[in-house]
Amino acid sequence: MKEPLISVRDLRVHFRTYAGVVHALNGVSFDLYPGEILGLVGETGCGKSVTGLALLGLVPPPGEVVGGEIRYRGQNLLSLPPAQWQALRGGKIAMIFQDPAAALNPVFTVGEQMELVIRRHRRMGRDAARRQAAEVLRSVGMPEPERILETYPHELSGGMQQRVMIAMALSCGAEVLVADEPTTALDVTIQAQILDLLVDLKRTRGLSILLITHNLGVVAETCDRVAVLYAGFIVEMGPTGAIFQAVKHPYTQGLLAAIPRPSRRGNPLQAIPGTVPDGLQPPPGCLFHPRCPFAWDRCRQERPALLEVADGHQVACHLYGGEAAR
Amino acid sequence: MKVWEYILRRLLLAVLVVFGVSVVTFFIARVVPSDPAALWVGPRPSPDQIAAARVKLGLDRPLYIQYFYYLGNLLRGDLGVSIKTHQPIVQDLRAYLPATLELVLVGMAMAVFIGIPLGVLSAARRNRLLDHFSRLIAVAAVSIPTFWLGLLLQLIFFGQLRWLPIGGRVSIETTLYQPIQTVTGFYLVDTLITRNWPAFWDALTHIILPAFTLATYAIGLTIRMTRSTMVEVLQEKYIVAARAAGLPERTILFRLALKNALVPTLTVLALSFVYSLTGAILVEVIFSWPGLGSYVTSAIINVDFPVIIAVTLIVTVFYVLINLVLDLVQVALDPRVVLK
Amino acid sequence: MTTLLRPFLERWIRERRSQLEEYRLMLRAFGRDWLAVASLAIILLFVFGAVFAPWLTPYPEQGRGEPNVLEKFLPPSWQHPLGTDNLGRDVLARILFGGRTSLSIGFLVVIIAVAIGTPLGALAGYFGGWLDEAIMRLTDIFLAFPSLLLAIAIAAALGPSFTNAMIAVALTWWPWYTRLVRAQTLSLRERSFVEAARGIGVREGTVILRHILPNVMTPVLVQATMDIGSAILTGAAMSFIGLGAQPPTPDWGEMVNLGRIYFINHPWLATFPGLAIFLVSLSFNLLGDSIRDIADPRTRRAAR
Repeated sequence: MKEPLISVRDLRVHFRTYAGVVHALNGVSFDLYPGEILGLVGETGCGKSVTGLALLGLVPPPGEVVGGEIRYRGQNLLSLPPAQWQALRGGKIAMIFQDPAAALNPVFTVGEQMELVIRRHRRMGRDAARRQAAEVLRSVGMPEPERILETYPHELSGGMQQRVMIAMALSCGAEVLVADEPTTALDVTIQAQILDLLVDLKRTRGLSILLITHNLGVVAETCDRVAVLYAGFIVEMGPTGAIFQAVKHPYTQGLLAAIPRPSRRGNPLQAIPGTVPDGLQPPPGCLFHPRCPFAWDRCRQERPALLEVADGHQVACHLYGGEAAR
Repeated sequence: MKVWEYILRRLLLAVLVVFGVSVVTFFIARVVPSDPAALWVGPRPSPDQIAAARVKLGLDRPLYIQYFYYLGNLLRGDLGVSIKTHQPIVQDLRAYLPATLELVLVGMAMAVFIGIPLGVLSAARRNRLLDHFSRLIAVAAVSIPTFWLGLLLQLIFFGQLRWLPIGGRVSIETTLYQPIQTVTGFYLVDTLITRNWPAFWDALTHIILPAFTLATYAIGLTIRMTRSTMVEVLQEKYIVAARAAGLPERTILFRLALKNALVPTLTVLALSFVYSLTGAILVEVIFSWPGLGSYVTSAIINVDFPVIIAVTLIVTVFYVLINLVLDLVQVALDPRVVLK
Repeated sequence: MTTLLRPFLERWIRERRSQLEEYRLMLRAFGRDWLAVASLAIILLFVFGAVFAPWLTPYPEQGRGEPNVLEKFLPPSWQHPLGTDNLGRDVLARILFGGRTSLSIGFLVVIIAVAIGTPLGALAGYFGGWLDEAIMRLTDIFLAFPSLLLAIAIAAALGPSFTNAMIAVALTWWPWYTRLVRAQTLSLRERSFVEAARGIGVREGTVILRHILPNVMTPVLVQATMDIGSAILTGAAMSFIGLGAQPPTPDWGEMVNLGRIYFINHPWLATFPGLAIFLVSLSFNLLGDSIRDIADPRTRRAAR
């Protein structure tokens, strides 16, 4: 297998609040390979967005990375001087957000914003930056890029705004794109267009994408591999096909069962009982055991490690591997 | 709404307000208990003289006719005649207004260059030492009596340190040996144009203390407003997005965020500009600055009503104009304003 | 009779109780805000000083303005902690007595402005239509004036005196309260309890008095607290240029004006009365800020 572009090991993020320390990420590890889309799925508050922000070194205060490493081409970003990481940010590693209307600055034109980013990362003059901006806009399927550059964000539709965000992210030759719920705020038809664009960018440019979403439908359509995050911990990870066809972890099973499908018409929708555990006092043992229908003694005492159960398919559950399998 | 339609509406409103202001000032001038005609004639007037003055000043006619004449004169740019000196007020204003405007403009520049950066940094380092410090400055600045602060500054910088002059626009030496040729009436500008360097330096040292005294209130307001809007703006998603694009913090704060925070800040600055025009009354008295304030205070002592009213009217028209300009600037700064 | 009224009484008590609970929370938040407590203490100290001035100083007659030419320009000492002025009067005594004018102008200006502004705002917001239009255009015109200048013009027209200065400043301040109350009334008018009262045929005047005014008073009081400081400043500025209380009545602004002439050689004449103005206005500003934060449940919780 190829060398990973990004490799995250045992990433821990804590939020210090007045009520106590909230454990947002409890040792997350994954690799992102060149030219793949890795889906990061989970419920609200499981740490998806924090993971994405951590890759750019933008965990918002009072949060802080307290352990682990994030390697980009073998280089640990966490030990990099701030200025060097800042140069990578928006350069090699870029990010797009859930609500493009809020992520674009309302009082600058699209052109002004793109120029600013381009000229930050590449030594070029105004005109060259403008041409570059127009070119990137065209490459993400924007008609009349010259005109778009003159518009203000509020004059564009949601889909167009997200295309602008993507163009801005790619304008300086990004290799890694962190896409945090890029389609959640958009209409369904537009969603499909944006997802197609991402898949297309992966194919044509060899872009690696970390696609953060809560929507398993989106994952099935676009991702090569999936990582399932629960309470700041990856519980299952593997190729999309394997996850959907040979699902292992009870939590992932629950997620899949909760998707409304035409084939299950007439049956009540499945929901996972209980709620995501309190980040202030995570339960001992497996984080999922209070909600797990299959939990047994060991689950309450010992936290399971992420173990490989099939080719490239890993799961963190005492039901698989180890003693239970014997 | 179209942009021109918006501008037209603001213009109409401004005209309406100026009209209302002229009514109010006229009314104030006519409730004076002292008799303008008697003042016009001077000390120990005879009844005949007073009656003649009354006819000459139009005071014998009905009130609404008097207002009609007053308004007609205003429209022709005639603000009347000082009762005390019998000089046309417009002529006096031409001498005093530039002095006050120069003072106010330098003060506003101080407010912009001290207030906005402190407000921005305060918001960026929220709840840290710098923030507490600048918030303390802000609240002290709006609480301190201007006239008292002026005295304290004189005591320190003139009385103790002897660094800066105590008052006036220029020193006597300059008027004698390096006379300033009046072009615009703004000494700093005039001395620059005529390359009169010693006089420029002299005018500069004279303006620092009064301008700073005047600016204190505006500095306080500007820090407060900039800080509170910047705190809100810095929580916006586009700021995170800008960081994710690798833009340096300086660009994010002073360019991307500040432009979003500028509309409320400018409103406050415009307000303090006009407040400064009136605050100048106090400052000019303390620093013997020959401007509108000194003009109007001597008018108060002499019960010279046409002067008081003319100054009130002029400053108010400035106020209305600034608000109008502000509305237009808002449209330029934030393309969404017209839509609201 | 009592049985008939009972459900209404119970509801009334319940509402009052939740209101009381709200006030209790506000009071607790206030107690934790040491800056607010200190500000209040300073204000109370000055009010106390002004009220009991004759008993607090050995020189009450000097405080009222009687000259004592044998002791001119004495620097601060044990006999005269803040020195004496150009007529030999004890500066501390003058400040204590001056607080009577300077503080009362602050309170009275705000009271008059609220008394004019609140009813007008409630009428404009409640009835709308031409009445609203007329009242709001009037406030536009008054707000178009820079307030200090308008106050100066009015006070000059009325003649320099304490009462006239107060009236002049109040006349330039009421429009702010009209705007505030109108905005509050507009939103209250849509609320269910007001609609219900109108629906069952309660007279308009009663609705305004019973349902609108009590509910707009909290924001008005918050605004008023914040304004007293500036009112004291404006009042001091007026008497500084000779349009306020006339000598020999003591007043802080007038004392600074007097001290100005002798300032370089006898700085204590102007320094201490000016400091009094500064401290009181600073305290009111800080107190107003805290009360605004405390009255708003969002910032109250965030402040914890």
